[in-house]
Amino acid sequence: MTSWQHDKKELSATETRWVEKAQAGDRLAFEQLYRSHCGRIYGLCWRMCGGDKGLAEDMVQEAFVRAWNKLHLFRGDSKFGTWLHRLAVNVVLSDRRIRVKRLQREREMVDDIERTLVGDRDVFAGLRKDLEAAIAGLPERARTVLVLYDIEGYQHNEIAEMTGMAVGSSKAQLHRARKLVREVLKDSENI
Amino acid sequence: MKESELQSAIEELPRSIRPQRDLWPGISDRLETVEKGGEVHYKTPFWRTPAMAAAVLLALAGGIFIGRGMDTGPADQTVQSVMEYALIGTVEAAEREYQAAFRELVPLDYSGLRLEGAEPDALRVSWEELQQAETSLLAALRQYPTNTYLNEKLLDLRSQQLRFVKQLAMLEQNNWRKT
Repeated sequence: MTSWQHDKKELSATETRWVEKAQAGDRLAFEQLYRSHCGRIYGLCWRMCGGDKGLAEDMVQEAFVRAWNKLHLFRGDSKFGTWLHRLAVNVVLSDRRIRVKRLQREREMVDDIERTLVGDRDVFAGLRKDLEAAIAGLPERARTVLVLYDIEGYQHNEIAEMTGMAVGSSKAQLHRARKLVREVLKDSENI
Repeated sequence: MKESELQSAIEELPRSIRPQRDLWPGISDRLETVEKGGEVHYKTPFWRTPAMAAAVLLALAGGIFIGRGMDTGPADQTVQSVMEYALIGTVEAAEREYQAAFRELVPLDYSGLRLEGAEPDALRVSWEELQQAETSLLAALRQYPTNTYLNEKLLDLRSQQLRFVKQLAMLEQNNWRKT
């Protein structure tokens, strides 16, 4: 299980105040929320975008702008971070550019891993580098499910709801994704 | 690699990754636009407001020459001169801002926009109405360059034109993002 789901700490009093102030239109409070959550949201977007840094930055910005616009809808039933995370997933899933990229990636998986490695060399280290590259090179649906399930801790029914695929498809994509990642890592060990 | 080894490796991945640059300034700029009503979710199409305002403005600008004197009494002349001087400075600053924005954002391709309930022609007509108001005001200002009323109206008009042009640019960008 991931730290995302296991993160059971209550919203700090400070964050609650930031949320309340931001809901009242306080931009500085919203900036504090951004500073507090941008790492998690960027990590999510970066992986879901297959390691495309520029696209991930766009997604993060879009997610926070949408969060600001929808902040009045946040009632505190869940943690703010959970609400924001879900919103960011929807932003990424609804971006057409990623769907377009999927078509390219499924044809050029190996090349794409190479490009990702070159483009984000400083982000990787050791095994993590190979693993991140393998995840980045996955076909989009498989990558989405692996990132959301294995890394971000969503359940298959939640993934199915967000992506519009059946629960069974989500499980199948996860199985496919893990198999592909293992194959890529095995190949890289043999080089 | 075994399944369990893969799971362990995945669990080791950091969930949080700091972006390489601060994204807040870009977000802040967009929030600014949202607050000014520049986002694309409009209850009333934005091009209708300037069109109506331009029509009112034209009537007002025309009316000033018929029903309102251009000069005030001698007792108010000194105070008025100071006010006119300040206002003209503001107008000149607004002019520079407008011209800079205009060069950057215009010409826009109206025909490429896809707006719910809006035709490119409607946008063009609204813009032309604003331009007509501008022509009338500038003509009047050439005759009465220090007239407070006309300068204030030019400020209003520039504000409307800027908003119009910026929103068109945002719509174009939004349209681009969708395609």
